[in-house]
Amino acid sequence: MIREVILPQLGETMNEGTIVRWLVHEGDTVQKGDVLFQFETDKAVLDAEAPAAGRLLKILQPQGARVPVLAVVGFIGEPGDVLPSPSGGQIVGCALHPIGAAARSGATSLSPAVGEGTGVRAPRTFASPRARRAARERGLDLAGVTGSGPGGRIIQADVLAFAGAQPRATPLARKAAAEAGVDLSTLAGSGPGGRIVRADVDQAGAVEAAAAPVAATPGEIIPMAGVRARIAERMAASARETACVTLTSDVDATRLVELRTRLKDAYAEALGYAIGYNDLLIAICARALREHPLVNSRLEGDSIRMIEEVHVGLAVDTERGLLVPVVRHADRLGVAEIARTVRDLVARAREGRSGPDELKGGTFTITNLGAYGIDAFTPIINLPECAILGVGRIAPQPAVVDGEIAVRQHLWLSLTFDHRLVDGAPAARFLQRIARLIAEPYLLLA
Amino acid sequence: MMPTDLIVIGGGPGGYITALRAAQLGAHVTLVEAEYLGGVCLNVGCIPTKALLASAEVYHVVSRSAEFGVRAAKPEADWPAMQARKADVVAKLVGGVRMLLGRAGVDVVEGHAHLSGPGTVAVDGAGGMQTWAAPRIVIATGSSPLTLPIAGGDLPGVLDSTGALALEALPASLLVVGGGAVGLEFATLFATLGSQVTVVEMLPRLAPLADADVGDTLRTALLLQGAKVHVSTKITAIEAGRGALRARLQGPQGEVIVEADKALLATGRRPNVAGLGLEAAGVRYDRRGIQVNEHMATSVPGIYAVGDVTGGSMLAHVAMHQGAVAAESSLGHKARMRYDAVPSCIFARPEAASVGLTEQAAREQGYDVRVGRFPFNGNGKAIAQGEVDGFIKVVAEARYGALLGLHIVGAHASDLVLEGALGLTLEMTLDELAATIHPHPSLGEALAEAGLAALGRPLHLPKS
Repeated sequence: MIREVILPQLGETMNEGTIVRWLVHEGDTVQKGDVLFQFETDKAVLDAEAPAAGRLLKILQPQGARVPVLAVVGFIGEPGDVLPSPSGGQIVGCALHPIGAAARSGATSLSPAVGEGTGVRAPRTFASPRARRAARERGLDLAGVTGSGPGGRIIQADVLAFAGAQPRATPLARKAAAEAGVDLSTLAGSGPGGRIVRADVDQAGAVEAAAAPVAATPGEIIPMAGVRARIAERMAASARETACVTLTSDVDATRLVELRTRLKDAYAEALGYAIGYNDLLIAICARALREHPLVNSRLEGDSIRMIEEVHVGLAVDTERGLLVPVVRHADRLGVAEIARTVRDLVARAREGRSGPDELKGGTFTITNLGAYGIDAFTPIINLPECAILGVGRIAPQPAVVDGEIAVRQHLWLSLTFDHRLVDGAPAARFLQRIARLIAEPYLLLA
Repeated sequence: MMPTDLIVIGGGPGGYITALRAAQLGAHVTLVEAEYLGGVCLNVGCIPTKALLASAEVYHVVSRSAEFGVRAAKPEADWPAMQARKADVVAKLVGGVRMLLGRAGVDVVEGHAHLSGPGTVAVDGAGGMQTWAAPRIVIATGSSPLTLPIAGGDLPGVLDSTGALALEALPASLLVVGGGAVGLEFATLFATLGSQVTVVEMLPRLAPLADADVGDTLRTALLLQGAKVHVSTKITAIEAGRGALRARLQGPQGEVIVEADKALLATGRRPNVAGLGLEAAGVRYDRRGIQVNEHMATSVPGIYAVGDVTGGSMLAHVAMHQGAVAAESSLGHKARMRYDAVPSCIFARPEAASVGLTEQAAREQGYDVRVGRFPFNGNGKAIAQGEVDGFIKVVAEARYGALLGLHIVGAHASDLVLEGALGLTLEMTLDELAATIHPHPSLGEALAEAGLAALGRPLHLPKS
């Protein structure tokens, strides 16, 4: 019996394919399922398998030929068989095995409208009724499904496996993705066995949120998702729930500038990084928090929890949006260690590789807008913390020192605190202590 | 100088797993061990204590046999026989490690190793000083008991865990300093076998690293076993008294004097960083241990470190996992260590086991926390087998129902906790826990119920 060999159709958008090469010569004997030839679409290179056992009697379309889908490209039969006309004989569908990685996207949208308008009958596939129903329900073409039943028959499980060849993700990742509107099939998994985990979804959400403004054009509507959605939720909650008061103070930072310059000059080479103002401010705030435990607290229900540990967060502007990596136990670390920790945390946050504890659990936050020439501002408390310190720019200004006018380095501090937890006077004393440590940073040694 | 692909310094759990995994990946591996293969864990740690605790458990079961309708004579503890059984167990497992390393083609060298130059390790062994060269070196030298700087800490009769395992006779009375996993296991062992045990913990709670409910339950259990417990109490001095030790404790009630035949100091461990030539090699470390990144690489390219010597939680199963990560990443594979689902167990009676965040830690991290508890006295299997002490506590967050932590006190807690470890690794939510069929009757049903309780719909808890 003569069997036609056709160029299979892969997806509705596939109109033609190019024969990359024949793996079998005319006259060779083939078994059913042997790869006869490879063909290329605009998506992938694929194998076409022999629809039946026999001898390859004729190759109609040579290597390099561009062929419309479902066109007959050769015949399989027995010696002595008479070759029929292309539109005549029985056609058996070729099972497809994608080679290129891009094949999946095409394969899942295989068109059921096989054969229309080509003058060729649709390839016949052997499939169980339940498999056919499952395929119909999902809009899948059985031609793309490899059968595992008796004699290669497609059974329901094959269809479900084909349809379910979606990315693997953890239950939590699926829920988070659904909420954030992240398409799992676009993500690479970093979990066990390449599973997509929560962090992958968060990162994608963040990248999308961050990428959106860049791509944004006037009139466009950007969905609130990922990091943007979380920032919105947390900022609104803070503005709504806290009784926030902002205190500002102009601080003489001349000695802090000197200290920073010396530390930078003395240690930059040995440490491999330069100690910065933020590192010193974290050390200073950690010390002040230790001395003013009331500020290192949080509201829990109707009681105030005084927190033993001092974990200082630093607000960082990243491509992913605003993130707050937390230096844990900042009061126990030296300035160099704080600097190293901050660099590691920020690098990981920027790359979206932060550990589960690195972006939360803070007891106080520092936000520094000095680089943008801002003097004073009203930061929003990073819930559930009690207070946040806004750091302005450091700039030389005239000042009165010992009755003389002198040029000193000025720094504006803006402390926002939650008046539900702390009153104005203790908050002011806390800010005063920070100011003192900035003015006389050697007190850190005391 | 002998070339090899990878040298492992230390044959404990971290070291031998590094060697096995690296050999599996095709590397020629040389492992140097100074004292005993299997390290502290197999020789003087996890395994020998479990062997002795198994003897104590049999003793305990026989002593309450009448409850089960079995008449038996009052049990007697044959301590030397228990010790002999312990030695058999250890020998069997150490032999197993040696066999596995041999079959994997790992060269095992006995001696003390140190970093002798870039990519070289010198070993002071039976055959004199020999040097190996390898592009990858993995340090897995483990830890030693921390000695407390207190007066009388060096008196005879003051023991560390190794000394307590080697006791020739059961002490009539024992003071255990330190209410962590090690202290509680020894307290359980000797209290069960009839010693008068006193436990002293500096922090306000036993098992201070575990969920608060765990420490409270274990304290009650120890008190019921006839032990004495002092929390928020420091030991200030140990003196040689009349035939016994006299310990001075300073606690909430002022000074307390406790007399005991022996005192066990179980106050933690310190990483074995001395004598390795770390400084000369430029490997960054401090008193907490060698600093490593998530690939277990140290500050020096080509040098890795795993296990207790890197500080952290100092658990054998963490060391083993780190070993596999070190082997893989040093041989060019992608691997990194994660610590969000590390189980920890306390083999007291009842057992305690935890994985993930405690309730308090979850709250501190800002989660909207949901807690579900189920007591074993509501579980059919527990009642049938007469082990009703304890509970299962599920900590989850409200938004997605993601599991955050699992805390178990009760019989077989260490076996039950792995559902939580797997759940955390696969980021399970309470929905999956509720959808999983737990066999009946089993202790695991309590876990399913605790999950339902966290969802606000337990089926086997009376409506309150």
